[in-house]
Amino acid sequence: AGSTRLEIQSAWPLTLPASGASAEHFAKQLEVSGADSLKVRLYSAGKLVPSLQIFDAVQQGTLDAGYTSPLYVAGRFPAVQLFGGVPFGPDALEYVGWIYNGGGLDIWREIYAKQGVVTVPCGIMDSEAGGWYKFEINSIDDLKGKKIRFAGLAGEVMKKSGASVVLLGGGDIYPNLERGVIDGTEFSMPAIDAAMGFEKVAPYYYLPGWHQPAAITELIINKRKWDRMSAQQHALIENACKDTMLWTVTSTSVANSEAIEKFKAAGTEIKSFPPSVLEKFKSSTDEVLKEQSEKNADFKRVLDSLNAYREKVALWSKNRS
Amino acid sequence: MSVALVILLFSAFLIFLFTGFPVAFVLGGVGVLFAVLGSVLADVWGYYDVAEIRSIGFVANRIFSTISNYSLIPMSMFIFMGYLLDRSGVAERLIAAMHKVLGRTPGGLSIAVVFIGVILAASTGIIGASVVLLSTIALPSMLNAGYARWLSAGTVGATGCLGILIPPSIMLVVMGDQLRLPVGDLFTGAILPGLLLALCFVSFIFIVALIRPETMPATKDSAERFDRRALWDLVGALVVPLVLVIAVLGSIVAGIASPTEASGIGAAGAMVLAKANGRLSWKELKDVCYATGRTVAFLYALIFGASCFSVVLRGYGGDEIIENALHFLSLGPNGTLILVLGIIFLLGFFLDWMEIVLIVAPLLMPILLQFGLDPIWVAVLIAICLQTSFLTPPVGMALFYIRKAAPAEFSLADIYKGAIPFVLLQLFVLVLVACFPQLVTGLL
Amino acid sequence: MSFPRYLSQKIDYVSALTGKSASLVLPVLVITILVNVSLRYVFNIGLIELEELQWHLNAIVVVLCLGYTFQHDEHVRVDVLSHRFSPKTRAWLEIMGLLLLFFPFTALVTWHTWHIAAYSWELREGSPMPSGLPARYLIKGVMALGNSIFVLQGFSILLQKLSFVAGNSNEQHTKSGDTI
Ligand code: NA
Ligand code: NA
Repeated sequence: AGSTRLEIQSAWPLTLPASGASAEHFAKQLEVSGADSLKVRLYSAGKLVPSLQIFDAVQQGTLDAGYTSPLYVAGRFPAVQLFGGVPFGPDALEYVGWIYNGGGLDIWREIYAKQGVVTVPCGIMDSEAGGWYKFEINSIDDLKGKKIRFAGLAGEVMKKSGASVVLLGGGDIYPNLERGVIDGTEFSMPAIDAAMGFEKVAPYYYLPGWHQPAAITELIINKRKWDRMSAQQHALIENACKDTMLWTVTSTSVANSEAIEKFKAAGTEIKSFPPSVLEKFKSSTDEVLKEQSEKNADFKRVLDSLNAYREKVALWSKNRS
Repeated sequence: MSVALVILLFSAFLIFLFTGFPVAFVLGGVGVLFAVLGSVLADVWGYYDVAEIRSIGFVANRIFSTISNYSLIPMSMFIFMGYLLDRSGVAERLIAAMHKVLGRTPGGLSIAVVFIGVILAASTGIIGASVVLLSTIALPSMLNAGYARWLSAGTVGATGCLGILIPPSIMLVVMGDQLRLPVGDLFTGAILPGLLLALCFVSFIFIVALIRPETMPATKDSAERFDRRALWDLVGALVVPLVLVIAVLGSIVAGIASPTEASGIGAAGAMVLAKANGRLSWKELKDVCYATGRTVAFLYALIFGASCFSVVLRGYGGDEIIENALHFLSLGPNGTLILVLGIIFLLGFFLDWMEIVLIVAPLLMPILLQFGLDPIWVAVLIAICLQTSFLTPPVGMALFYIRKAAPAEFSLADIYKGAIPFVLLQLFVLVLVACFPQLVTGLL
Repeated sequence: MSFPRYLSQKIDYVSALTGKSASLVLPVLVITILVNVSLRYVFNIGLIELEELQWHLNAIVVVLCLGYTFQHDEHVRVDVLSHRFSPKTRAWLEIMGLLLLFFPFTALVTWHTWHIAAYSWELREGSPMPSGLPARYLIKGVMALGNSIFVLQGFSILLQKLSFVAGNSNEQHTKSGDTI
């Protein structure tokens, strides 16, 4: 198909570790391997279209492709959230296993195919942290009435745990936490949290990030555009994405460790959720997933596929280390 | 080629701007014209560093994102609140009381105007409404008292603009959205610079009154007596707006409520106060709603138009061209900051704050932040710099509103001449805040 | 009355009616914020639905007042040069502006907004937050509707200006819709 031009927008600033930086890595990778065959023009978050609307723009063909998270289309396709990161869900290894060897990618592509969009998994992020809090969490009752910023399925879990869940844009989290408008927030992994300076305004940092043990980012491409490309071009893109996955998941290990070190030095107390609290989160998560499955057939289908795979590998995943 | 096209894009905007066609449509329309041009360049000549016509689809996405933006709600609420206060009679009561208290002091009326301007500014921040209000209630009495016309016009114009800097300010709300900065921090950071500006105005008036008393003679009218009753009138007139200021700003700065929540409370408070003053019939409330709806719509229309222009500008690589140009000059942090503020000052002669905040600030801000400068401080510096745009001809919103609302005795020359000292004072405060960042960061 | 004039008056009527009705949503927005604040601070209840309702209400005001504002000629203009021109020249400039700038911009955007609304309807799109407001296609539909009225209002003004330069009307800008 000769040389193809591909306009891509990232859902995150290109300087953001793991997410935006992965988009940049992917584009650079393609620049080298794609050489004359693919001409990529990568835009940072919000340059052309707001992050939450990348899917629409790609669907309509206004944008050729987007580097984004499946979590951002939860309002359109609730099932797709399960590809973006699930509370008490799979870790990175299990996730990738399910996507490539457990039929995950096939269902995912099937859901998008009706929309005229092709997805290529293009990054997998290590576990997030459990969030920043201005209060100690010793029992589930400590969450009662607390104003907490949490998104998506995990937000529902928090609601079931008695917290009052608040919606806030990225830039508004810090000042609202600082002033006590909110009492706690989930954000991202330590390496990314470090850039936000939360350690200055919240004394407790909780681990682990039960709400998202791993997250997948995707490259979505307009199907007409995709179909006009050759098999070689498809392979170039898919391979660059697989390379990016490996890069993403390993790009933050050192930085996460260093960030926790930095938080400790700043006087942050690094804490673990007590088992009783995690148990309650887990049972609430099961409820939330069940409710969503009842509401949406696709959601149930994806969840069943994911659970089936996890069961298949359970004897090994639980005992390997 | 890209550079030439980007220059052409800006020139087309300026040319169409001066036809007097609404700015929002000029921004959007020029964007579309250049997207069409881009498609031709790409399809016919294979030149791809352009925005193509399909990118107008992004504009629709961005419009949805703008109207679904929770953080922009304070804009509507503060405007609503402003119109309510405008109708509540608070300002008239204040000026009558101030007149009695300060009328017999040389320059007293001017100082009273600044004082009321600050109160108005802290309770709302609609430039048009504030300038018109001050023009209609203060300029006639200043004229009668024999004040120099240029000085009266300048005082009213400059003071009426304080509301856009002193929080709550719709400009800071829009800046927060465009520059991805927390509105609460911008509000807090702008408080001292705003008050400092007002203080400079008062000092200037005071000094002029001492050096050239004939420009601001004391009132000889014996009715304007300063007595205990006058003082109580003043206190009574002050209570109403002060309650609102404390409720709205206090809850934002103290962290009790988010700006959106506080703005809603403020609007509710203004409704209650207007009702209590007996000024809020159903008809009045409806009129306030209509006026607010129209003001909100014109502000959003500008955002939509600017959004179109920006998308097309980015398609043509405008971001990178400007970034590269500034990097090429390699002026370092201070030099770049001075250059950027200088550019904004010059653009302020021709453009309003909206266009600058929507198009220019997002282009220049990231370059400044690369130097590690404090974003809130930089944003407040830009906000102070934008104060001048209201008073610099040919396009200055304050000048425009004074022209509309001032008594016929005020000539265009009076209005322009009056603006000069106040623009200089604004620049003086800009320099002060640039030299002493604590003025912004101190309260954060 | 000539047909263009009749049509222009009808359009004005519709856009004033929508704009005015929409702006009466403002007090409702104030009350919604108050309820949300009291629930949060007094009863410790945070409702995502109420927060989303706030921007829905604000969006209704914004998009449905676009045309109404144009009718009142309150979209900001830079008139330093143009206020010296004759009314006829100004009318010609307005006609050129409408045809060259306003319609290309608003019509194209409106076409896309209908596209967005239709797609949202097709998906029966809701909020990305599980407990957010359902039926996002409604507000996207309002966005498309508001933009459409905006385009129509431009058409009404075009008719008025054409009739003015053709010498059929003395008044340049009738605000007939304002008699509601
Ligand atoms: Na203000
Ligand atoms: Na100016």
